[in-house]
Amino acid sequence: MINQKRIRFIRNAALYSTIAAVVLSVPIFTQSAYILHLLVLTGIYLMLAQSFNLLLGYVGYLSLAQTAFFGIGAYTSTILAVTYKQSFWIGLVLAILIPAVIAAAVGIPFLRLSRHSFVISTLGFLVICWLIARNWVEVTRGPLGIPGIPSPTLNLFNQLSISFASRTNYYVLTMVFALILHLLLIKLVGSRIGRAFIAIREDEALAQAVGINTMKYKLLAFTISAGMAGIAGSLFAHYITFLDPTVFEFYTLEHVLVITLVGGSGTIGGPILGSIVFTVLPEILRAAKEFRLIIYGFILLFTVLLMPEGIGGKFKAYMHKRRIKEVYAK
Amino acid sequence: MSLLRTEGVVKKFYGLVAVDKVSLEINEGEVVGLIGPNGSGKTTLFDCITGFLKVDAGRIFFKNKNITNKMPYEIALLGVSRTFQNARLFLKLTVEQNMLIAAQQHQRLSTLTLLAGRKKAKEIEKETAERAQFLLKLVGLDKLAQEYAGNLSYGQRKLLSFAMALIPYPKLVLLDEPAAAVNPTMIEKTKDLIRQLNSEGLTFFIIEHNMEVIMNICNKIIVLDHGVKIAEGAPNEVRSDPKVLEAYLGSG
Repeated sequence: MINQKRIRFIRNAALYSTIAAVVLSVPIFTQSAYILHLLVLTGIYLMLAQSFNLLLGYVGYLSLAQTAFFGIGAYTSTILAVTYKQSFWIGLVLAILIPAVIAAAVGIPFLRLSRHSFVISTLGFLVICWLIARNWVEVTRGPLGIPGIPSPTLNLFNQLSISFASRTNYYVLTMVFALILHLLLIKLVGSRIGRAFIAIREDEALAQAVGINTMKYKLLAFTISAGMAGIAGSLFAHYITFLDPTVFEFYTLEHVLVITLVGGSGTIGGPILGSIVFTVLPEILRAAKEFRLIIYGFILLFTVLLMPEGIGGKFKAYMHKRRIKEVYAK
Repeated sequence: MSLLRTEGVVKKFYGLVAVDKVSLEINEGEVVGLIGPNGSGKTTLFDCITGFLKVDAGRIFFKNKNITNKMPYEIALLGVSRTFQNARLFLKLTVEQNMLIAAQQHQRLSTLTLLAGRKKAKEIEKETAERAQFLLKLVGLDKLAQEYAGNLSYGQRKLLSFAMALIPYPKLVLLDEPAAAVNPTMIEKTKDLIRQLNSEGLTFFIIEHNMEVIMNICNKIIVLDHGVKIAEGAPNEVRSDPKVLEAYLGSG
């Protein structure tokens, strides 16, 4: 038993470090600015998609407010860097905390509603955020947007200074965050807290009957996911170096929906696959830019109709079937 | 000692009075049956006791502690387990996962012990897994532990929900129709289980339409009709009570 556990631990550690090594060594193999650019965006959208996935896939609540938290994180970090000349790192911390605090506050009324009403209230929240970003001109400069967002730099003991202005360095920065986030996410969904989330997704009344404080856990998930979206938003703003209210618009939302649903909500691997495919696909479809939203719409529609569990869900079901066969064979 | 006590519990759905001033008492170590025609408010009374419905009047005490209108999870954590009429389960999870979820909130592990005392957390997890296995064996589902709960037959689902109600070491178990639509062998098994657990000191409160089961295992029966308690007593007394006969067969 103990030996088996140790073997599993070593195997997992080896697996994770290999993945980390492969991901972080990509710039050695390709210097192409274009590919690195796509990969940075993949990483950023992946973090946003996972924040969405945590709520939809594990707690069972479809939140359209995730892109709002993404935008709030982006604006927080941007305003601190541009208007108040603060470092990226202070901005990043606040880009996690402010969306999380807002989520905790609006979550209390929102999460009391039925699942369908919750979706609509989060959509309302997103629209409100968009309107504020457009109209609070003194702070956000409205539709003009905020240009010249500085690239992050890291000062180590006032000696070594690393700038993340280059594509390669920004790629490493994004991937380090993505890897840490995934490690924490895997820990979270595998823990007792994660089990409570899944119980709520499956049957909220039964979850209450077995002693789960459903409101507490839903609020916890909503808060964590808002913080995750905030990190992605901050990284996005400092990468693109320009921010305007379009982050709150439908395009971002649809992108994340497609990544999560086609990839497979309720699995960690699904959105990873989804984010790679759907960051590369728009580049291929570039010639047909006007049709992109329409094509996405069709993909979303067909996924929901034909394969609601996504690619990740299909894979999970297949693995379970295999395991069951093994159990019966014994 | 009185384990559960209700005092004049009233539950209205708009004009309809589903539960009408019901007072009852369940003592430790009893097996109490709750019977009545369809729509007489039995499940509604269960929902009021377990916090799923808010009562309009009256009070409910568990171990002399007022639990009226507390949240369902709070009541569950005090030691009141329940099953649902339609055998609710986490259908997309395995049988074993269902059991572990049913147990986990009752283990008083603070986040701190979880982070710092990994050894203790592991011990508890191991103990829970063993108890889950033990209970699954008791209800005869141990071979299906890795199967999805959604793939179980209806009778097996009832047995699993029964096992889930038992895993957190409850003081009182409320069963909503444990024998409905269950085959005779499984009914016998359920009866034996209830008797065995009761002899170990567990208290039961059971809604059931199957009179044979009720008469067999209960030492007290409460009869509801149109939300009103019309009779209470030992099985033999209740069986011959004219009011009960009238409620079931109609006055003629």
